[in-house]
Amino acid sequence: MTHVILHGCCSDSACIPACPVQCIRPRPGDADFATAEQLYIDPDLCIDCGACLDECPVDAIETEWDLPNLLTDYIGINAAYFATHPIEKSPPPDVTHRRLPVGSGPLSVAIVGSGPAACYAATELSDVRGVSVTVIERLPTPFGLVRAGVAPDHSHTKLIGDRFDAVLARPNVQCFFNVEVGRDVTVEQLLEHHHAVIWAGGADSDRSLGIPGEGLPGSFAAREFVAWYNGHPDHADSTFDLSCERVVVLGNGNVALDVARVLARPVAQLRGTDMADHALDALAASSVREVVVVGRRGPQFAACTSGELAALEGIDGLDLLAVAEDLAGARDGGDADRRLTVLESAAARAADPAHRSITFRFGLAPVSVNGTDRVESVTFARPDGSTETVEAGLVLRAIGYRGREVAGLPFDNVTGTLPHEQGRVVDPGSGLPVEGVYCSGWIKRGATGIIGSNRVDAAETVEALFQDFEGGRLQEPRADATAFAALIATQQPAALDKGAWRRIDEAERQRGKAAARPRTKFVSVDELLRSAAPAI
Amino acid sequence: VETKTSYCRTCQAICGVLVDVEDDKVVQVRANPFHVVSDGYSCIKGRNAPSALNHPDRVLRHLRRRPDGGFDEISLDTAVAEIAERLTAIVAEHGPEAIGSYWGTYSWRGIATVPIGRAWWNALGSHKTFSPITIDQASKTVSYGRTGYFTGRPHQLADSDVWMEVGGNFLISMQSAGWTTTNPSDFLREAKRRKTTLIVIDPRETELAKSADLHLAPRPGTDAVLLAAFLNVVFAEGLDRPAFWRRYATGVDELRSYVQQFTPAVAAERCDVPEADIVAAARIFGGGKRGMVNGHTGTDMGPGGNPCEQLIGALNIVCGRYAVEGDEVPQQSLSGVPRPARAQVIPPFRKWESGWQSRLGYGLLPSPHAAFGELPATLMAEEILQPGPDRVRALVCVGGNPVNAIPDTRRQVEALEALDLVVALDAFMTDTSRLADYVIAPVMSYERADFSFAGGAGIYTEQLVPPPGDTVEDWEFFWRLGNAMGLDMRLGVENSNGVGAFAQVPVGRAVALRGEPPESDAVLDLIADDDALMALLRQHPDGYRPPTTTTTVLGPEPGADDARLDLFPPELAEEMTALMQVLDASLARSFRLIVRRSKHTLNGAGKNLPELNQGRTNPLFVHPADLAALGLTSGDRITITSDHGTVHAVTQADSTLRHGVVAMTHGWGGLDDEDPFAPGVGTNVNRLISPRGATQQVLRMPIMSALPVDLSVYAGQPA
Repeated sequence: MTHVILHGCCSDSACIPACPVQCIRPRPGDADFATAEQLYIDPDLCIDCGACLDECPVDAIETEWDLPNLLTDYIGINAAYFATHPIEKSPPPDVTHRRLPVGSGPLSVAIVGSGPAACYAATELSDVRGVSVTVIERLPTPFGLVRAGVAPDHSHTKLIGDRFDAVLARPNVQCFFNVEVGRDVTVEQLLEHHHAVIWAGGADSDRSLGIPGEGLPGSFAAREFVAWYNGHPDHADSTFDLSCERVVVLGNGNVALDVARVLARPVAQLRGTDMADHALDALAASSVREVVVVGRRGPQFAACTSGELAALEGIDGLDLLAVAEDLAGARDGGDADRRLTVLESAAARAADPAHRSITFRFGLAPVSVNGTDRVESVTFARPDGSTETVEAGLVLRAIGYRGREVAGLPFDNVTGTLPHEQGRVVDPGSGLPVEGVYCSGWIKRGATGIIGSNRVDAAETVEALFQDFEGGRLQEPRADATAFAALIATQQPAALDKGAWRRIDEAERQRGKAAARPRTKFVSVDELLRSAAPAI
Repeated sequence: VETKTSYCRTCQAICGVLVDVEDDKVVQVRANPFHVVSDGYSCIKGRNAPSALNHPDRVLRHLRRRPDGGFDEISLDTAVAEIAERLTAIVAEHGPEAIGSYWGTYSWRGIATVPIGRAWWNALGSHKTFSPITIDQASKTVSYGRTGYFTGRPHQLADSDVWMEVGGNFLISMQSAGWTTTNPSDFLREAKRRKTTLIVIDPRETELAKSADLHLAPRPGTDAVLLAAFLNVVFAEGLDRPAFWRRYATGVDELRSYVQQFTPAVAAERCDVPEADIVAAARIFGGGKRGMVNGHTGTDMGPGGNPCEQLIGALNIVCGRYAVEGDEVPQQSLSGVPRPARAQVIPPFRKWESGWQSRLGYGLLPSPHAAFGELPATLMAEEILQPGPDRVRALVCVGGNPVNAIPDTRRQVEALEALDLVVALDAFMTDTSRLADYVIAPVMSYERADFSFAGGAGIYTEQLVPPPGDTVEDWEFFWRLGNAMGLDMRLGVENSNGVGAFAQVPVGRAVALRGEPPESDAVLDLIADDDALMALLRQHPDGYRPPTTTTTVLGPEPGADDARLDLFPPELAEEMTALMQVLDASLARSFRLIVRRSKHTLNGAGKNLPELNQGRTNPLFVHPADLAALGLTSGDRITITSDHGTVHAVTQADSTLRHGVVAMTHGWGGLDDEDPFAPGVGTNVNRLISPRGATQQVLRMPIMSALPVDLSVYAGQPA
């Protein structure tokens, strides 16, 4: 007699305003909204109307009675949240539809990037009558990390792409793909043609460890590996030597789990996904037997979510292992979470020699990556000062993404973000907003949170933008959308529009159909441009 | 975007909704959290109303068939004039009995449709009224007719300590006497908090069964045996309430001795349910102080519908599950003038045995659609096709699709093709509309002002968006048609609806319906015949629920004291014997096909909405072990064969079923030449069903659930 939210929850919170009895928590604005692993439904209040289920972009909500056996844990997990966070039935907030001020002309906004932060911003803006949105994307394809970051075996998470697709298809949204701001068009030119620009270009660089050997061949940022197996055109030609038996992954957030899982799960389980063909071929020939996922601190500080960790237990042909000594003392705080329970059973598990394994290690701080011509091992320091060296032929550093400086805009080199106030980009020297320039997503708040976190983030930015428009603080653009399209046509003749993306999308889906895959991706810009050409 | 308050017109529940309107179109529907009955509940069907209203295939102009089979758009005036002329000519030549009418589910969705349609029909004077009511749970009507009816308030779930549901899944259907009509989970959770013990009888572990304290999963079709065994235990262990039945019932001794043969051991064998569970269920139910047993489509559409309802009624009466004289009961009165609560017996009426009889040997059942009553729906094709002076030659279908709804699809097509005139009021080109000579384009839900009653409350809605195209309200069509035919149409005529859910159809103010149709709101006032109530409803957009008072139940009206409920009508034993023969004969086939309601469709409605169904049609649900034994998995194609036909379907594994039981939702599928695997088509269950086999007495209702079938691997192109 309740609906249940499962571990695929994107925390986008689209379900929350839809709930007539407000039984979903935490809500944006609640103290734990940013830190909660997922959203939860109170089984004592839920009336099973399914309104949340209609809204969920990633199919992470199910009725209690339709849950498969593997997921019945989530009935208790949802209920447990409300044991510590009791709530009362309340009506939903009034849905108010924003309107532009009476008498004002239309508002036009350019958004740089087309990933989640960009698409959420485009959603909020294009919902309002009189607003037009221009989306500018460097690649020939939209959706950023939904396409090139989300693991191929997380097909439910990728469903959010369908929602974003519907937003880009709106008549008041125009798109220019294969157009790079800074190369093909400048921020100034965007502002000449729009009231405002929202920079939502994400974080496409990496934090570094600052240890010797980090740059040896065979040591990569996990981001590069992820981009490679997802067929990102910038990484399609990369090669990862999988002839070794052991891979070390540094860091234990969800990206670390993704790369470990992709390396360790039987490749047959990936053949029905949209993983790039070159990655499937490489994984089929892989000699990797063990992936060691190493965290600097104890298991209570593991960065992954318990849902993602627990899901590893359910994968056929993959053993989830841990080392009992690493877990010693973790329960002393008394506050053991579900992750520790999973790790304890992993520590008690005997490895099946026929399976590949993922071994979780804790309390090991990387000291050096060792090797003569290429990676051979990693040395770690324990808290007591002793060291341990783990042999590995491949090292993937999953310690975080980092934003890159944008030419002509202020930048905070410490955090790798644009300095901002509620999404208004601010010049740190004067403390004043840079007129008409806003930011959203990882370039705004740093590389934290999951896809859905960008919804609240984008809403804040768009709210600031509307306030500035209503307050007369945005300059009327000197030229219109037609002029902008003409400008792009001159400066980047190979720019693609929505129709071109539609053709790429259809061609990829058609290719995938024969192999019962959602799509078979094109992985080079040339291929993408060819498939974008209209049929003659 | 403007948000308006209204109520959902998808089913009878009247959930309160908030409707977003933009550019005169309904763009979004969501729950009204402040509605007095639904309290924030809405369902996926209701929330998808915009996809039906704005559907590209919606019929927006009235249509007339050309000789080449295509349709021309015509004006309402032309349609009314031509139909009136043709009907009048048929009546002149063959008499009014040559006209038939069919009242589908959607004739119920506008409050004015049935009263004004009925005024036209009563004035026309034909007895050939048909509706899907008689292929659903009409065994209840038969049971009331044979046993009589007790007017003391039946116990409600909200104040009961025990409850039994047989062959029904309230959490999906939201239909059960004594329950709410909306917000099912909340209502059930409240019952569980009060520690009400819930017993569910169903061959599938339904959503409701999962919430039950005791679930018995009998072989499909055997419920009557199980119910007889419950009575056996109740009598044997002295759990009956003689103080109640001695005063109000006869035939109890005969019933007691009849059910002696149905021991728990006998039932356990026949039903394949543990004997201990049968005894436990009977003791819990009989031992409870308050609470009813209810039958549903699972019982009534099976081969033992009549005996099931007879035994269900008997259990409730033997256990005294009604308010009696002197009890204090809650009372709400929308009109402000409460009717006195009385505990008295309406004696058996057996309407079908007296009065008008069809030339084919059937009498009339109580009906909300006609003053006379109505005939079994499965007789409609025979009334058209069998020769005779009063043979039906013209048919008017209101908000229904008889070709798809009535068993034996081929026979229905044959019948409609044999008619001189078919008129269909339907928003979409259904199988019936496609065979029609005229299709009238109706106004839908939020395009009309309306009011309704449910759950002790009333609600009124204004029109939210203008009707698109040439669409007309159903009532207005009948108003115009009756006037064009020169008929003397009147509201305020009492119906033959007698008892049960249909007693709620308003009778209306006693006026003649003459001249130009008035404004919709004026018509609503005529239908309600209570200006004070309409004023109240218009002031309460979230619904109006009158205050609850308490009243003391009075004894019988003078002269009604001698009436008795007949607990052992002679047909019971006959029908039980016939049932045993059907069950034995069923063994010739390996599987039993049972009915199953879907969350996404209501009868035939909703199946054409891709937003709602997302590519689903009606799969054949099969137990995974049965599926594996056939060498199949979910999504494979399968062939289903019954004594009456063969259809093809897509499988879906479902471990909540009993072994040997398969389930499928009715209302899908098309005609013989339609590919069930084409997008949005699905499988027509009614091609497996026919009244040529065993049927229920009085209703002529064939086996529609617990149907014996065989399964085989589909020989055509795989999925």
